[in-house]
Amino acid sequence: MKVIYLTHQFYPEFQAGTEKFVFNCASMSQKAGNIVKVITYNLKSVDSFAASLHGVQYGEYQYGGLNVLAYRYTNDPGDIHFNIDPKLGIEFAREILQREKPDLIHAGHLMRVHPFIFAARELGIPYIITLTDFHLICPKIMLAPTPDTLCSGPEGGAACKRFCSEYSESFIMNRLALTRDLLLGAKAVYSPSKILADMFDDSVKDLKVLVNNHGIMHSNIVPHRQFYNKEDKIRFGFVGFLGRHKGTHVLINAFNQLKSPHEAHLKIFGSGGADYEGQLNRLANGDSRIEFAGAFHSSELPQVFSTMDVLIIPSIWYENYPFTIVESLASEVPVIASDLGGMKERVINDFNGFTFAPGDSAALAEVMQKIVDNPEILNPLKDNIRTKQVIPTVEQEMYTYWQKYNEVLGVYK
Amino acid sequence: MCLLKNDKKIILKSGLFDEKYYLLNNPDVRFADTDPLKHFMTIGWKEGRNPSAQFDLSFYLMRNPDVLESGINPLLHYINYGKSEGRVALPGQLMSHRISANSTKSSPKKLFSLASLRFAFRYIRLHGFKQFWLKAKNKLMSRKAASINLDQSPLTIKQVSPKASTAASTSDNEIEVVGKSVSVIIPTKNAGKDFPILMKTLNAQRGFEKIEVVIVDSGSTDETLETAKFLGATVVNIEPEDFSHSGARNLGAEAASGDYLMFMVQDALPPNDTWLATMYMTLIENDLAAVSCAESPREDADLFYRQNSWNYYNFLEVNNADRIFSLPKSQDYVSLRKNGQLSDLANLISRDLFLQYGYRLNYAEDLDLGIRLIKDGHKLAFLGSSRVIHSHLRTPYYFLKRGFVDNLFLTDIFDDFVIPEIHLREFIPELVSCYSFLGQLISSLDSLSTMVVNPEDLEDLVLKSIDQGSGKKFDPSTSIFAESKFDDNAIEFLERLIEGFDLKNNRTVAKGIMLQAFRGHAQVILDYIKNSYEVVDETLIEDVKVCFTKAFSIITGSFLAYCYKNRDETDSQEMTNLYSVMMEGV
Repeated sequence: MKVIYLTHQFYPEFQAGTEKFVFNCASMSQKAGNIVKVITYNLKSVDSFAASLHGVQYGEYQYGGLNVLAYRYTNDPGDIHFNIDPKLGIEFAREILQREKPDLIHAGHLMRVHPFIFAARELGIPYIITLTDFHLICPKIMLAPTPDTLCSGPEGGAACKRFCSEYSESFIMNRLALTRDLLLGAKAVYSPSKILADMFDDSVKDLKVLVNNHGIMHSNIVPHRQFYNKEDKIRFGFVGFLGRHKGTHVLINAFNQLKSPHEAHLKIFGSGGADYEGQLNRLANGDSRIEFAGAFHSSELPQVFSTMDVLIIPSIWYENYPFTIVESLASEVPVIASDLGGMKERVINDFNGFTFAPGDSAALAEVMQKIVDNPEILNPLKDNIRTKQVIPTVEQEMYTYWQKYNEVLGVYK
Repeated sequence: MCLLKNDKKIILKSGLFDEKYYLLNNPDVRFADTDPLKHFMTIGWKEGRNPSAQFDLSFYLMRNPDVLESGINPLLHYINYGKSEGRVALPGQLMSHRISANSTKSSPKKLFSLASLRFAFRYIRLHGFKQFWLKAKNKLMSRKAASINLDQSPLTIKQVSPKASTAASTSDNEIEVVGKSVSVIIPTKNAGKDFPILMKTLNAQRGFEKIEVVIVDSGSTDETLETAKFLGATVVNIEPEDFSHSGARNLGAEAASGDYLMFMVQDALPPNDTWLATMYMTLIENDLAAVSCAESPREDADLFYRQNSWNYYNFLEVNNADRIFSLPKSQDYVSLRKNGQLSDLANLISRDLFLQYGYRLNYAEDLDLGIRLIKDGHKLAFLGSSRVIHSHLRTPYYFLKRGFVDNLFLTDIFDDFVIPEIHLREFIPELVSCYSFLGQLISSLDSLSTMVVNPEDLEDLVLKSIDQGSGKKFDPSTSIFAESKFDDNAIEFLERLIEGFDLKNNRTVAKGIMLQAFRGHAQVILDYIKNSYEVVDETLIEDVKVCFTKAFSIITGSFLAYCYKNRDETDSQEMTNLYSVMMEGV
């Protein structure tokens, strides 16, 4: 069978979680014997593309053994990132699909590339969708009306009207109607986390989102085995993008409140916006125990987790499916995380880590202090992770999709 | 493509293509596990291979120069035109036609036609009386069923929905718990760092009263034993020298307490937490003795492993289907393999039934068990719709050994498996010649790695190179195995193998037998690529190079097995030494 994977952006320019998911999915699908192609939007300059068609520049390239078709509009048609427009780019999408003749489309993110779904429907090509964020129910994507507030869903547009009044009511209502149409037309809609699935189920009438956890490549994981004694010094770690919504400032504030700070160390991996990084540096105030280790290559994951006894993910937004948490747990490193969204779904108090009230640095400091004073409380957590925590592999994640493709196309009927 | 399909139908309908005959007489096709008819239609007829004992291709072309000139498949010509024009398909057929003019095709008289007698003499001359007798026996047994019996009876499979959770939380997706217990039996030795994932995924299986894991360990020095005990497995220890594939599993079965036994291997992984329940429901609802399933590759599986697996499941016809196996009417080795296969990657069977049979042999014990079960009237199933995650990244040296062991096994278990007549002294020039070609082929692939081409271009380049390579003389250099995709062990082994042979004087001896076998395997690899890729890029080209190297290795191992079987006083000691090396560690 031929499967087209659809995503708003892709490697090598973009390397976030959705890109990783689409890459894993397409690669494993190819290994299962399917012909695959990734279709994506690309923000490169218009003269970077080899061909044009219906007001769209496009070209193909190979990445990691995958064949990728990237495109962009010749003339910027305005908001293409948050708007859902069933007409924009439809001729291009239709012609490409007629040329490619896929049996199935699997969408990883519909920002910018949703015309392909509208065209697929016209052409009778079945599609499935994996949700990777709130884009389809929130034009701000993160369900965060402001950097310090969260929203619990559109509530039929009422919440958008109240919290995000910069959008017109007709824009919101039209967008939600189109979203519903796109989602209900899919043969299946998946989410990697229950929080995301529940949010969509609550927001889109008649929708039932299936949960399929993202898997990880265990070949790149090395368990961190250690038995802790009372006198051990604790190394806390943070891994992720340095942006306000990731709450790194909450973590540094908490670290600064520790009563016996000489007993602990904090290593921060990742990079981000210069302004925010500057703020974090000021908060750290030259403390030698706080180390900014910068970004790292994914192959260095084992070394990264070997430098920490506990990972801390203090995000102040929902975090749909934080890869870092599952990679940490797979490495047998317990996690402290905000009691929120996809984080609290992965981290269970006293089982594999601890949770704390989102944004509350005092509450986080209390948990960190408990560990600094009693490092041995990590031992039962590590035992639980080692014996009971099942982190799916990419093969297991893809198996669910493989079965769904077969079901949709009637392969084993 | 449509034309090919239509031709296929015409040939099948004519009854002039005999799959068993074709496989028996063409070991390279048999080895490649490719569809014999497809092979005949695309390659075989061009190479002068006969489709059955009823059609002598060379004779037909010799008698009909117009057909030779037209370049069309002589068999198709005969069916479509030749037969009605009164042309004959076999030497002496004019006589036999008269003899059998009024008899039906299935008349026993046909067995004793002049043509069949001529064929018999020729066969005895080529393969000896014993092989002739085995073939004749199979022929008699299969007369009632012209084709291999592939049971396609409907199979009831209840796919049980897996839960999606990474933590030890309860699921909102409950499945019915049956009052049964399952023991999962796994022979282990240094099971590796993914073993805890297997253990935890097994412990998380749902739908049973109890899941027990029994490992039979033969001397692990890594964390296997600690992990197994830590995660609640029953551990049976045996000495490394006491290990055999059958014996270890039989010991595990004796130590198991479950109502059902699931035999697995240490590097396999269930795809979800309801996999075992799905296999169990299939077993119960279809009244089966045992059920196995196909494998799904790991993320690091290379092209060679994937195409091998794809090709094998094409042979079993489970790539797009689930199959129930029962005893086929024709019991030649191809039919038995196709209808008696169980897989130790995942083999579910009731404990009571297993204890009656047990595993035998130190190799292919799963196939042996399957064949014994169907011979006793049991039904088995092999699922394509449920899979177990498993694949290996092995070296070319491993595949050298694997080719050797596989072929020895086939001769041990199947009386009708024909070993081609070849001795080591004849094989070495073949090996060197084929290697020399492989080196050229890999170099020519480099020219593609800078551009993006389609799979058909790749096929064209490879097949043309092979065809042009046939008959070319090789370079008798002694360091021919350097600068390749071979691992050091393979290079050392191959260099030692050719050491002492006077290649210079032997170079004219190579007949291209191995190169033709390589062509058969290359065709399967290219078919797989055409099936799974639209574009051949640099990444794939690198995979193809390794893939061809491993194909070369496995073919070498196969030929060495033939040489071992054909050993005589001139090479007996050498072949005995080679046997010890090849059997070690597989």
